Amino acid sequence: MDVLLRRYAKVTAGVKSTDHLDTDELNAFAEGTLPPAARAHSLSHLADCNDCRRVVTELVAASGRVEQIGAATPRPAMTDSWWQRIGTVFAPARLRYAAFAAILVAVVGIGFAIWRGSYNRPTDLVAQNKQTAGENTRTVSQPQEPAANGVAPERSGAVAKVLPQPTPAPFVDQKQPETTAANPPPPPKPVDALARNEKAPASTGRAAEPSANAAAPSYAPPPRVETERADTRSREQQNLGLIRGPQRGESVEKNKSMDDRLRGGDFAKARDEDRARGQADQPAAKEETKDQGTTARKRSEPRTATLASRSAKAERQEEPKSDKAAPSEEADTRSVGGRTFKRQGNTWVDVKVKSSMSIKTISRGSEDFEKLDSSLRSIAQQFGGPVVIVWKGKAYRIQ
Amino acid sequence: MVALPLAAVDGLSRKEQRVGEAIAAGAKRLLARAENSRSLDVASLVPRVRATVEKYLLKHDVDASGDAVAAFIDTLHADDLCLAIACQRGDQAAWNDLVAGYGASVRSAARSASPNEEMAEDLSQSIWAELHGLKLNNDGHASGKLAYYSGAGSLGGWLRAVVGQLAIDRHRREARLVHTEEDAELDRLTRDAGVDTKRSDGFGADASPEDALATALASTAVEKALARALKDLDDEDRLLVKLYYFDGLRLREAGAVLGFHEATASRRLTRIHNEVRKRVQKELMDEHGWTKSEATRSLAQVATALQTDVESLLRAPQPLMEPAAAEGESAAV
Repeated sequence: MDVLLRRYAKVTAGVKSTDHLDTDELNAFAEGTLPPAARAHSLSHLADCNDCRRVVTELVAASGRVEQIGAATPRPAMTDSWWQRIGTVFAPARLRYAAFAAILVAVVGIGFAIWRGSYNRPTDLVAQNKQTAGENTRTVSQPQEPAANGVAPERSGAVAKVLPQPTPAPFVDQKQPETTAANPPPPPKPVDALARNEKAPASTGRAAEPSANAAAPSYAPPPRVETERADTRSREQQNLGLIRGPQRGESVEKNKSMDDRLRGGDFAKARDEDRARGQADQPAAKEETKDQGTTARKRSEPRTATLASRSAKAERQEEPKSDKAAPSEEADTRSVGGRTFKRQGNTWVDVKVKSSMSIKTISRGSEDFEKLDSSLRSIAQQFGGPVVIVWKGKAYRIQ
Repeated sequence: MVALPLAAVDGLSRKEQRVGEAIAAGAKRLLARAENSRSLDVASLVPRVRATVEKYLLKHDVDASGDAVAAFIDTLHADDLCLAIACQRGDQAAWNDLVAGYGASVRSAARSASPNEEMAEDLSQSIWAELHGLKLNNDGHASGKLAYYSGAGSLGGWLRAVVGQLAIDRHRREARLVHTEEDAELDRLTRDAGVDTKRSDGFGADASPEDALATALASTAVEKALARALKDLDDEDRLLVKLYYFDGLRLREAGAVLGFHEATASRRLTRIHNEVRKRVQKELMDEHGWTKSEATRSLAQVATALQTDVESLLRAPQPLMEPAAAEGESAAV
């Protein structure tokens, strides 16, 4: 249109008007002092008369009006309707960039989520036997939050669909074995469980959520010795609670002083526990640090529950339950090749098994078994009986 | 109260009486506003003020109220009007002030309107003679151009306008002797460049006969539709288009003529583009039965052909182009 207008202007002769504006009208128009009606009349003439328009143009240029108006702040054009303005905002030229920006943000977000998900891969391929059943047993025996009771059966039910086992909730806390593998705890000692319970966290609200996970029932029975130790320690603490009766919101210093009396001067153990709790309290920038903190929190969960159990009411309500739950939960955990397995009956099951996975059954020594990755085979060889392993997103039952 | 000729006329309506009273009161205020009244009285001002009001207000709005008349009179340049009237009445002191105050402006305007210094000096001398007048009126005063100054604009601007007008008159007289039709120049240049133009106006220049015919037909249709679309624009928009496209002014200058900012002029031009395009398309569709896509395509084709045409003209051998014609073509592109 611009080209057309320019060319049309070149080929079109101006209108030869005989009734020109006089010099006074031209000057008044150029200075903008005409009344509206007179100005409209002059506009009509100037639009058609080249000579008068030329004079007006020169007058405007000579009067310095160009600079005056140029220096003034432009007024917003009021001729555009609202629809035109909205149409300008949602013009395809602008939406094109907005759509590109939205796609870019979505790609970055998905990439970040994938990166976060792949950051937790275990790198420790050294097989370890861990016995955290004592903690699980103690956890089960403690009073739980009502919300936690609603969550745990749901998860266990989902897993039970995949693994038809007589025990319905084998994988209550899948994170716990992994984080433990990253920070292997010291070998179980008789004093260990006792010392951990002595370091109860001051913030009960913070420990409430992890305790919900940890308190879910584990059906793998712990070793007899560990169960007995846990029962003994629980009884000691309950007796102490009867004497003293601390509440959930009690300060750390009070609990520590009490625990010091119970520990009988095991300061080295207390230092380790303090370090773990400090890690749990720090906002973790790295995932590994976060896992350590999670581990520390989970270690402290039984202590929170223990403190709660010190109240007389909790003692009366929970003591029969702990007596019943302890023998039924004989869970055992093994860490092989950086992976954590829990025993369910006579089968060791990878904690990474999800309900959405289909399980492929392979016999040891078969051709299919030989086709598996050597690392997977080496892990499977470390178990005597049937084992369910998650490898590259697939679940294999090797028996 | 001044004895007004208006009051002496029988049969005046009450509205006219109110207007007359407003003019008299306005003239009185105008005289009071002037820093140097040049010993004028209200009676000597009223005829000039009345003529101004009738010319700029009552001519276009016969029902203008007394307040509107008073408001308009209050916008007049009081000192300049008193100076002009005093000069017209033969006040020598006023003449001296006029020449001293505006001599430089007149010379400057004459220089810018003249091709050389000699003609500029000749023009400026002519201006003073025109302002003073060589003949006497019935009242014994010289009938110079100063009698036409109304006070609506500044006296300096009015003097520049007089200079410009006088220069145009001289140019017209000279133009009768020298034919400077631009289209004839374009045709000559096109012929010399070897471009086969089908039309004398420069629209359409194609190699293929079929394409040339199609483009010529489309060009004719587009040109007619364009002319009608421009004619249908309102006066202000049409003037903006003329200033920008026809006179080659910049947006800033074109906006200043109309009294608005460069940015506003740009927005208006964009709106006018869309408006003209729609009207041209509608015209082509209604008149020739084209579809919208055909009308759009024809516009694009004609625009492309025009660009090619202009470029081919610019590629013509330079010695054949006279400086004025070359400058005009460059401005058009």
